[in-house]
Amino acid sequence: MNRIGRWILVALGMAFLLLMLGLTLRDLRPDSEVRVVEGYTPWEEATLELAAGVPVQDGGRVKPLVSFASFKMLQLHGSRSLKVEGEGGATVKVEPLAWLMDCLFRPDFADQMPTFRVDNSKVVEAVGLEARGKRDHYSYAELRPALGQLMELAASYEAMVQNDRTLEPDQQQALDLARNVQVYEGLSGYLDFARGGVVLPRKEGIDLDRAKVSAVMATAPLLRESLSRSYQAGETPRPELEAMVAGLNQAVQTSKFFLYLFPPADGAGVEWISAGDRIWNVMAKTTREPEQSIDDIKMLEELATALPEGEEAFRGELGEFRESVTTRAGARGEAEKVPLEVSYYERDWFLLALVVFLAAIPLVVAMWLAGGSRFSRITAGIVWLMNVAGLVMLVIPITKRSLIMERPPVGNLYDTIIFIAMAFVALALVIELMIRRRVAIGVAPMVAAFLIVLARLFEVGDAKDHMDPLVAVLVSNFWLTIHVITIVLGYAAGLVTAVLAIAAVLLRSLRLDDKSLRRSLLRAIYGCVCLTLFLSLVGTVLGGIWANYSWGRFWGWDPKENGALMIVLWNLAILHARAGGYIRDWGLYLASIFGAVVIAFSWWHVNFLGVGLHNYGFAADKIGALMAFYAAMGGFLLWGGVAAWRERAARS
Amino acid sequence: MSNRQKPPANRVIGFISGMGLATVLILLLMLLTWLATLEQVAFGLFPTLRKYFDFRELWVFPDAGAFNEEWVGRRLPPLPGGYWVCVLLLVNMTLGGLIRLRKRWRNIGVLLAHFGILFMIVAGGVAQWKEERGVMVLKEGETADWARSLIDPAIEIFEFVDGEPTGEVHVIRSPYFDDLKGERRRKVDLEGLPFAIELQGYQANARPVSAKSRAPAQGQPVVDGFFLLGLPSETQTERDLPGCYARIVADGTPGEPFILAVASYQPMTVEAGGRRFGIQMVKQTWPVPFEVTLESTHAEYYPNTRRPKSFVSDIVRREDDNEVEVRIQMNEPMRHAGMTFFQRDFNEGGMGTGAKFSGFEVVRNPSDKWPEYSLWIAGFGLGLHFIIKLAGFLGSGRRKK
Repeated sequence: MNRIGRWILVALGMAFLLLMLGLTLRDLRPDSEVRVVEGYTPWEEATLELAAGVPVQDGGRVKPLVSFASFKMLQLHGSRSLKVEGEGGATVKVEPLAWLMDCLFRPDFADQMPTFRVDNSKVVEAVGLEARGKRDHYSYAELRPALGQLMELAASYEAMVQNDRTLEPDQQQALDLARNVQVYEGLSGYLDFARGGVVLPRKEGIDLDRAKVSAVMATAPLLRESLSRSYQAGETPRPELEAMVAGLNQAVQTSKFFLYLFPPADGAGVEWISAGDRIWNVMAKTTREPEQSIDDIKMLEELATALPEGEEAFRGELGEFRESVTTRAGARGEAEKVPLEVSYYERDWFLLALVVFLAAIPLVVAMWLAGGSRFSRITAGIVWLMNVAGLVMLVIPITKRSLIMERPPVGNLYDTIIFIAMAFVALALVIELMIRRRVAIGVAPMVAAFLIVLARLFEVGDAKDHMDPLVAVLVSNFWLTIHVITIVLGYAAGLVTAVLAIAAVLLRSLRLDDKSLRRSLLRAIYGCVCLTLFLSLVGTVLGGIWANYSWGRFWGWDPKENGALMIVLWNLAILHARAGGYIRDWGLYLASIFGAVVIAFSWWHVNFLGVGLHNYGFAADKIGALMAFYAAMGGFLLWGGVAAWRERAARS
Repeated sequence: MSNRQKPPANRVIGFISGMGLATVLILLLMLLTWLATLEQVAFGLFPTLRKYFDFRELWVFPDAGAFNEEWVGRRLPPLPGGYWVCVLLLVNMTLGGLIRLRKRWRNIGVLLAHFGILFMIVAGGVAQWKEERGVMVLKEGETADWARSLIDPAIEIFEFVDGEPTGEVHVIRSPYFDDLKGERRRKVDLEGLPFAIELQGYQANARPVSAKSRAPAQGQPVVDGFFLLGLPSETQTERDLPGCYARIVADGTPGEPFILAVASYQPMTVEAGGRRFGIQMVKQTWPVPFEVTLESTHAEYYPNTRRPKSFVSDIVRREDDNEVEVRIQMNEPMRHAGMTFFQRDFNEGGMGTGAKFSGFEVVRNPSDKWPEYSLWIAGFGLGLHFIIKLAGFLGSGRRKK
């Protein structure tokens, strides 16, 4: 038994565990410092539960408000929670739905929250504000004095983009910040009309100085007629009429975008309608359902003004609103997936799976440390169970996502990460069943944890709802199923190959293996190379056939296609070199590890090139993580190379 | 018998069909693919493919610009051209993977996989030589029976009778002039025309520019106050607009030079033998054996977004007095008479006319379906081999126990 070798392995395992734990905790904890928001009180759980399932149309599909909130907060804040010090000095963690509810119903609180993430302090300095750290969060109230300057800057950058000019990173960030501010203003001002109504000029004998928008909408026919008479007579309309028109215009403008709350009338298309459009359509007489429109606006007014009476009263109005919209959406067959999606966000299965896999890592280390003892057998059993449990916890959310999206589980880069995590664990378990060496079940939780963390970081960085529908060219469930899934399974098989090869290199170089284990691993790696080749070749050619069938070209030299071809060629080269006797054990190990580099190039690197059909428009600054991966693989290759050389030297 | 004792011919065959050569060729192909992938970012897809995989390129010098923008123009050590690597691989695979491979039942999967891949490479070769690709852009209500190449230019010569183009159109295809760089010139005789045409100074991307607005900096000839300004190639080659200088030679006497450019709006008119002719350089057109009328076209977007959901064109195909209504949309092309029409572009109210346009990519490829057949063969072969190996692996495990 090589004690030092074992302890090196333990140290590597624990270092990996600490790295994953660190990344997970960084991902989970709020991304900004605690800010004081005077008098802030958290929303009651029952209110949030009720609000979560309100259907809205966003990103081309109907989704629950909780999904909408989640990605809007990611887009603006860069993470899914923030902390504020509220009433009585209590620290409150504000999550997406609560944050959105504050924007909509308590904008005075929302204005003080550190909503806007600014990655480069130059951006705030450029608009005349005092910057804090290089990367920090700012509230709307803090940005307010500089908004004019920010919008001017953004307009000039927008013009540059229109003229096909590339923006510098800090210019792009200023433009993004301005866009985020517009989104925030759209949300926080959305219900201003419902709270404030239409301001009327004071008139002697009339106490009323404000009218509800819904009440003004109800007078639309009279209002139109009066205005028309005035214009025809060449007279100026009465001041109260002019005030009503101005107030309605204001209401339309502030509530026209970002939140599409109401299903359209039957036969009126598929686009849901915002509050602003509801108001405008009634006034312009362009709706088939004026009464429903007025009722909808009335509901929003009652909802927006119910909060001062307490959350219970608010819930009453919210419940009515949700029921009304859900019933109408249901009649159109559009809200069926909303409860499923609410449940998807309620229980974070990926996080649970991550916890299980992370918890399995110390057991894996113990299992390996204990050699062939009874303790090792027991821990191996537990690790087996944890792998299976983790796998189930990955299968559940992936299945849910697939049901929600009504398409195969892989359609974008985020989907590939979680699917590969699932495929990796499944494949590792199958290999373990075949070789029973406690290697595959040992590496599975580590790689799965890494991939889940990667998926979480990617989702936060991308800040897009990856369940939104695919562009026209990808709308083909048949081809998505057979081409994309095969390719992605090829990636998973290639990664299994590389990880088994890394394990083999470590075990052999640290003298922790025996001939039998060595032989088993070697055969497993060889089998995995064959499987990777099979899946990659079939997946690549299927992609070509799809491209030929749909766009008339079998091969377009798109970087993603080339990447897949490189995986095929690399595995072919390994098999031919092996069959010809040009590489033996060490050659197979090292070539298989290099296979991970080829897969990373195909899976991730080509997205940074900015060309081709599969280009996802990645920011160049994220390439550092990929370089770190290449460096890690380079490290293993170097380790393996030195070990192979030493073994050869010792033998000769 | 050791390798050294074998006759030289056998040793050569052994080398050409060997695993070593196969491995090296596969690695070279991978390296070339990788470099071409990186290089297309800086130089565009078409020029990169021409550099790496054209049959005229025995050697390629990768550009260091593939790794860093600042290194553009620095040449890296040469590699063999991709086309010839594929040809060698084809030979190697035919000899080693089909002819010389031991015909045992255990090798049947490998045999089939090699055959499938060979078939695929052949399909690629046929497509490279025989495929024609163009675009047909129609306004709603418009009819056409031709498609225009996206890349290849051609010179068209036709006669004007009473001010109207009349009769046969004479076409000079790009291989006759796309190599005429600098001072090189070529005279092209066309049957039925009272003159020959001499071509010179071809540029892959150029614009006729008034010498009054800009002086010719590289000594380009000025013709009627204009000269041909060469521009760098676009990264999207279909945006390149080629041009060249030309003059007619009638009765052995050369005429005045003139500019032919795709970017010109009007054809050049010349007179010879008492007849008037129009000459123009255009992106090459080729006939489609039926008429296509665009009845209607529309785009659908996901609600409240500008994310496209579908592009649909309803057309009428007319052929021998038969009319057929066909719907072409994304992922559902029209295949007919050896041609395939794909929905390529959609323009609603664009081009300043307020009308709707639909662009179809028109492809004629005799090896259209071959890759699919090769996939079934190679996939089946690889799958079979994998199962045989897996069965062997599991069997050996059981025997050990």
